[in-house]
Amino acid sequence: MLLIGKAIQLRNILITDSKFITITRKKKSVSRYLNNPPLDLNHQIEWIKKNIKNKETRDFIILNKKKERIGTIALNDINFKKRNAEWGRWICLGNSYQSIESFLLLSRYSFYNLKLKNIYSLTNIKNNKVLNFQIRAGGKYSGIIKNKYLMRGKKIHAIKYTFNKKSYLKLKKKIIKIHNFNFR
Amino acid sequence: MSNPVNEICKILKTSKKKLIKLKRKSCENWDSLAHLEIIFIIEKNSKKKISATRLEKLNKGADIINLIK
Repeated sequence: MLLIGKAIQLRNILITDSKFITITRKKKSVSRYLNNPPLDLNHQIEWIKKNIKNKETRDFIILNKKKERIGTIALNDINFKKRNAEWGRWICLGNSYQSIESFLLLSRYSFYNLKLKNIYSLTNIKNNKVLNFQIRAGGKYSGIIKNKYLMRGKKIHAIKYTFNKKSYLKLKKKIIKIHNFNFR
Repeated sequence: MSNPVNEICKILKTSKKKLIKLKRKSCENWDSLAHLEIIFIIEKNSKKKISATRLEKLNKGADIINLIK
């Protein structure tokens, strides 16, 4: 599966991505809000093997125009009956446009390919930058999930934001306006 | 046309005085979408294109103010 955008592509995760993911998730700037950083490469390989078989998840690698790996993004707990899924595992080492386009491509895939009604994020309550992004991107506040994560021995709440096709189209329109101006 | 600095301050929820000392890394309101909105305002105002490489280097309020001037 390859989802093609203007500045990035999303492709299905492969076992050969293990090293990239392990190194990336271990970066200090990235791991700060990760509830479950990988232990080592073997652990990551096993995790990918398990996830590739799991029909309720879709893990993608974000590639730049040169096809270099620049991040990850995923759908988790896909529920085809309720037509929803959690989106996350979002790490993008690229520029701001590439980050946002990865979310737009994942949203397009969710609403048009998988025909989901909504996708939601569960963000660490202390990760204010990502929480601000969710609000700015049109996410609808959907409550607090208490004690969702365990980080360094402490229980942390998560905030849920929900996105639907309407919010996706609105964000896409906004980005096209900026994109036309910036990347002609 | 509204003042671009005011528009940027509104996005970052800060004052003109604080903007000059602001750094993207430490500003919670300066997320990736906010950053693109800021770049859009700068380009609209200066009528100059900011390259994708330079895009991520504009990480300080002071640099942004200098570009608008």
